[in-house]
Amino acid sequence: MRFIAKDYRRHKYLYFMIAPVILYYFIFHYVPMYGAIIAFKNYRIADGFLGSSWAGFSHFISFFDSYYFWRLLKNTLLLNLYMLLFSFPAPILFALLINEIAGKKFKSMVQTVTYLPHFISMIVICGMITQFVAREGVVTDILVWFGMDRTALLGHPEYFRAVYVISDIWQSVGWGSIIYLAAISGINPELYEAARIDGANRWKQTLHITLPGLAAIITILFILKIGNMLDVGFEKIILLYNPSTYVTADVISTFVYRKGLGGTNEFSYATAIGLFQSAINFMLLLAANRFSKKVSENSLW
Amino acid sequence: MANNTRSPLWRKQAVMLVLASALIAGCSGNTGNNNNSAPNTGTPTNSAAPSPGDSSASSEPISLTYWTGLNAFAARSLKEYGESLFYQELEKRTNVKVKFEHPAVGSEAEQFNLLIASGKLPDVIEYNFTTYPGGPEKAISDKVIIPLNDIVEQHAPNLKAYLDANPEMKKEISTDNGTIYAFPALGTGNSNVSSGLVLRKDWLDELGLGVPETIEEWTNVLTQFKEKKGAKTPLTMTLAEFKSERFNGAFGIGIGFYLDGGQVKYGPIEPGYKDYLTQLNAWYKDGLLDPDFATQDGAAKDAKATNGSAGAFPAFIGSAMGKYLTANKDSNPAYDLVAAQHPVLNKGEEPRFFTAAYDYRGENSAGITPANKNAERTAAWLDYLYSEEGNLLKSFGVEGTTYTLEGDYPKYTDLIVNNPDGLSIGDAMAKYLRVSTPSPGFVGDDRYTEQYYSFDQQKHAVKLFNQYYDNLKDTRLPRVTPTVDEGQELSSIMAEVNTYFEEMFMQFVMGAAPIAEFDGYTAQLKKMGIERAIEIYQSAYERYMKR
Repeated sequence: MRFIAKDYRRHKYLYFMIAPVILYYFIFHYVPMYGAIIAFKNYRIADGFLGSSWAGFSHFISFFDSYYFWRLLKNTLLLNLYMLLFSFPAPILFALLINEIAGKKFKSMVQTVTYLPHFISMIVICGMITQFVAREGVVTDILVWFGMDRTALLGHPEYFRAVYVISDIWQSVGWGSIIYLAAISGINPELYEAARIDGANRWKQTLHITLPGLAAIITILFILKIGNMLDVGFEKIILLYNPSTYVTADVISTFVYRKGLGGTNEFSYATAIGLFQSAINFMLLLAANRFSKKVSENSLW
Repeated sequence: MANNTRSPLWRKQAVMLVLASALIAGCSGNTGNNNNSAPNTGTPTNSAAPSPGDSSASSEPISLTYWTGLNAFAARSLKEYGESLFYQELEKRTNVKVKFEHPAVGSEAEQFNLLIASGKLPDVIEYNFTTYPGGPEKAISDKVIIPLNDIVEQHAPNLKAYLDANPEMKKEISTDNGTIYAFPALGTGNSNVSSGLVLRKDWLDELGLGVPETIEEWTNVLTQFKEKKGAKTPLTMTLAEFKSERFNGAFGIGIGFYLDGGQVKYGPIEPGYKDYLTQLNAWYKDGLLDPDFATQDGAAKDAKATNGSAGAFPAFIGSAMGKYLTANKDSNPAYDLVAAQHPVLNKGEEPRFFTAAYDYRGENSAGITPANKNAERTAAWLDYLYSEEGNLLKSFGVEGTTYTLEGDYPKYTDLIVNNPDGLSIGDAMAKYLRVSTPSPGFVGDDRYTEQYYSFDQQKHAVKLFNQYYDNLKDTRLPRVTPTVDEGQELSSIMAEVNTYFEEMFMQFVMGAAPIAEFDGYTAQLKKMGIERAIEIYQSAYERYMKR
């Protein structure tokens, strides 16, 4: 306490500056957590959070017993795994490529063009994707040219994950590369100079200087990604899926959405699933962090 | 609670005063109303009933907050209903100022749930309370709306007169306990079936084919469309349209819960459903049914219906048929449509299953919330819409502006039917009136239908589609209300059942699952508790019959 008081006197303005952020997290992220108790209750709107009767773990049990539990879990994990395999490295590779571009004008043009999809709202993006992969869509045209049967891709469960992941790369590769580009520009140019004198070519320089320079940031982002393994951006799935693709597209968060707000109003049940999801995410995050601490120097804390 | 004992005398007196003034207003309205009453127009309004609207302008103005979905057609030209001619005139006549709160178009149900979860209720909520989980009784016990029996009795003379004259309707709009919970949207006229199957008449004529009645004739017609007219998707539908009763009726089953000799049944587990799926699968395999039905939206279907890709499709008489016929008027004058009777299996049978609105529409019925401090005035204000005059205002607007009287017949002016700003008739109606979609008051006035359906093909369609309306009495489950506990059980059963059913439906139709697996599929539905759901509906139905 005394340390904080002393520190406060010394850095008064810094504390003022951080105050709104702390308040934000407290009000919008910690206070609502108290609502999570309805996961253990039979929540009724008229009775309120505290007045509703207790249900114990019954909502959790009925979720684990649900016909769809294993499928939801599998779909969620698989989709995240594919994202980790393909969507996560994409901006890194892209940043490395951009870094090698010599022409300044061309470089900034490439960057601007790839940032663009990030600024288009999700609903418009999904509208575009739906059009692109429809029976007469431009992506379908290309695939047909390569020998695929003409069909609307989003009507078939086997294509859903591919459409989802590839469109995600298109959407986020430019924006995601910014952080890596920043890290690259922070690497000491003398290192490259020394390497060149030692006879390293561009490829060797990338391999032995740029990539190690990025290692820290890559690890941290990777740990954070692992911590979200049970989350999928459900807006995008809801906008892209339909009953014929539920087999591969229905994930925990879309199921929660349909249960909680899709007309049946099982708030408690939906909250229980959400809580389960968060708990698993938190454990994964801890595990990934510990693992990373063991094998490398980098970790979140 | 403690409020009663604490509330001072003056407050009680004030309440009495309001009550009294509303009553007086109600009585004196009578004289003004009679001048205007058009005799025998098909509206079941009792024109002798007093209308509080016109004279309550003298009472002090109040303002209400009013939550309702902005109809998609209206949303094209209005930001909120307060801008519409109807509500502006209504405010002038009743001295009730309304502040509208509109949820985003298309996500009304979610936003309704958010609204009640937030606990900040407006004065009036317009919603389909029959779909409230647990039914309207639950909405009342959740303190979302208040029971209206006493209020209707005392402050809604027009609605009361109508309900007294139509006991069947009173049964429909009440809960099992006889509670009235909303100011209902009541269907009148003979146009409850507003959609059905429509074909390209020019193609039929060219190929020398009659309008198909049986499934066999349908298969033949669709095949010929494909082979001789080059239709890529002879029959096009969207996924949502498979939730309406279209072809399933021919196989003797309803699309969801239905009645069979007083017994509730669930279509998707009946043997007839297997035949239905087999037929759809055959059409899908032969390229007669649009393979993109799962992913396409309404706009894509519209395009196929008009550009010669499809020759048959389900369509609403007003919005779709009118739009398609207009779209091709110049570019392809030969384009013509004809409505087909709801399909049957064998020649000579009468269709028994098709989609029709209930007389009590359910949707857009206005409930008064506990937050409303002027419940009586609000009731009187809503009741105005059930008067002859209020109905005229809501359906036809202001005389001289949106309609003129020819004798007793209100005829829409060019502002509606030939809008100078280029609005279609439907869009113009949505901009100035509240007539084409359900809203508190009477809907589907025949005088409106006759003018809205301007094409002869539409006039034919409305007659044909409604021809067998009475058959629905035996097959259609009325709007029953499960109890609170039943409702909760039902919703948790149906959430899983629906997901599974929708998924399997697609797989059967598209051939991903062979029809032979039908038995396994019904067994799975039973494991998920569908039989319990049927039981719940059965007991709710029996309670309904005893109302």
